[in-house]
Amino acid sequence: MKTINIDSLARVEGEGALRIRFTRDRVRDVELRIFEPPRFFEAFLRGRSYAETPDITARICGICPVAYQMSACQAIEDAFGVEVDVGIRELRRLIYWGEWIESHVLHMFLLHAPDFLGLPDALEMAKEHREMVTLALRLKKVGNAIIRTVGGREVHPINVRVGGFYRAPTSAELNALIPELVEARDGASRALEWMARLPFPDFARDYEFVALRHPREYAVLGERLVSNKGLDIEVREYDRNFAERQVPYSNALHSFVKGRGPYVCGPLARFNLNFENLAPLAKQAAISARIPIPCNNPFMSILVRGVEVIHAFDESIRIIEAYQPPARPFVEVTPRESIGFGCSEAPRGLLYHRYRLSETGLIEDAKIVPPTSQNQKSIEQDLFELAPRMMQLSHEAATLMAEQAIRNYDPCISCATHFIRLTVEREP
Amino acid sequence: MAALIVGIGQASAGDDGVGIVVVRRLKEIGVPQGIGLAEVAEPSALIESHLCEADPVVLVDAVLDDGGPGRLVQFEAGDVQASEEKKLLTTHGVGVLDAVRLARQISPDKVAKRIMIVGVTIRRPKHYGEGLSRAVAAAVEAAATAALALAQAERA
Repeated sequence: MKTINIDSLARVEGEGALRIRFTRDRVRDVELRIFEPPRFFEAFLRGRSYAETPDITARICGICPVAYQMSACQAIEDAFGVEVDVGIRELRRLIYWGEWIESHVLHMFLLHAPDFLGLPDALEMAKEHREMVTLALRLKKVGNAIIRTVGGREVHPINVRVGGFYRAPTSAELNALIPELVEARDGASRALEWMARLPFPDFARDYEFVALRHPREYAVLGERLVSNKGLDIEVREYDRNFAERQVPYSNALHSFVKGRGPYVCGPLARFNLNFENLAPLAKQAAISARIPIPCNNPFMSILVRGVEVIHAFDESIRIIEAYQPPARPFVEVTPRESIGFGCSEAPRGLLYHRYRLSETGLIEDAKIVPPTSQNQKSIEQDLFELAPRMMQLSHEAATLMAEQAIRNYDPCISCATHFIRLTVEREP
Repeated sequence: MAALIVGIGQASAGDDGVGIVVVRRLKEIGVPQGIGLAEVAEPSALIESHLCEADPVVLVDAVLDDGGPGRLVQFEAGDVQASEEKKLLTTHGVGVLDAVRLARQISPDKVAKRIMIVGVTIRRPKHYGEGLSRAVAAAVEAAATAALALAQAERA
């Protein structure tokens, strides 16, 4: 028997490992072990006030705190029967675009692109592709500026609250971002053209893609969940249609569609299900980059992220140009005994929150399903399909292929997997 | 601005925020003219900004260490051997030393020649929350003094 073990380097926000076992020339099993701790937060939230939820859940991730804040706010507002004003919703979308930009750009250029170039890391990439790395850092900076302007600070924004924002930015504050947003949008288009020339492994599977849907928007906030296999439900029906199962080797639960199996959320799912609602500029950029529609090759997710970055810049400009400070920065909420559901599109995919609240607004029960849990089984299935190819490769090349396949999904273990170590055990 | 002291970390992640606390302490006590103070939560923010704005730059950060929290370590960011013996705490993405290396790679003419690191040793944070542990809090004053001394000495 041959075993490929990939041990991990522990990081604060992500610890993972991979083991692939072969019997003769057949793959026996693939185990992707993730040690993310979001479930601790679910217990941690019990007994806390609804008002603390956005700030507490934001601490689950340093790279996508806005996603946690948005899903939490939506769930609490759903529970209390509150609908926010249009202006507040637009500000929410704006801060969310900032998070997509900074998260996607970091992943595309500093974590994923080196794989396609056969380089060990971004540092080596900067030697050969200095202009692209410099451009990436500038794009990321603009994403950070959006978050700072709307959210008060770049990491774990402090301006978000249930019902809206503590303070709405002024038109002047947002307008000041326009010149760099316009320049960054052009830069993002150049970046996609560059990425489109990378070599993409020939690989595709028949996935079930799941994403939020909005009738007019490329959904980041929404009320319906759809899939390419016929799913079309309200967010509040999530638990009736999805379930999670525990596996002995991983702390993260595996999500699946009841009665069917694993599914994929994130950029590929959004692109395939909501392509028509992309900004025209982003749509055209996707066509020019020759991304198939639908796209079933997870290695091309780096391109789809590039398209989403163009869309995020374009939409940010549009929102700011149309911006009128809302009459009130937040809508008052009145606690009541109830259950609320919220779902938004984190950079990596669907982020589902459900809370049961007491009549005084204390959390009695919480459920949080992050995108990495939802994609975990599909990552394993990709690796299962790729394993025979890995068998033909050297240790080093097999490790790179496995890492690259994992990074297709930008899981929260991305940073750790750049340093994973491969060992191969052989038995006669 | 001739010199810059940058605190790195997240105030809401316990001892990880020690770099921020040190810089805030320096703001309280005041620093001589020509020395700037800044805070960043995420090291990639240093590239093409803080690292290019002054020379020297002193970075104050938490350093993972099993030998006990609250000790001070100092080294030059380019001192690779010394650097790799330390585990600077970082979130997703770019670590502090990688940020310095990347900055030197893409902007060699603009980046400060002298980048020093003042680290305060901590244990891996297990809880979220504002505030430092007693041992790490006890090192804040010394770290502030060390960062200021480095900024002044290097400036001279």
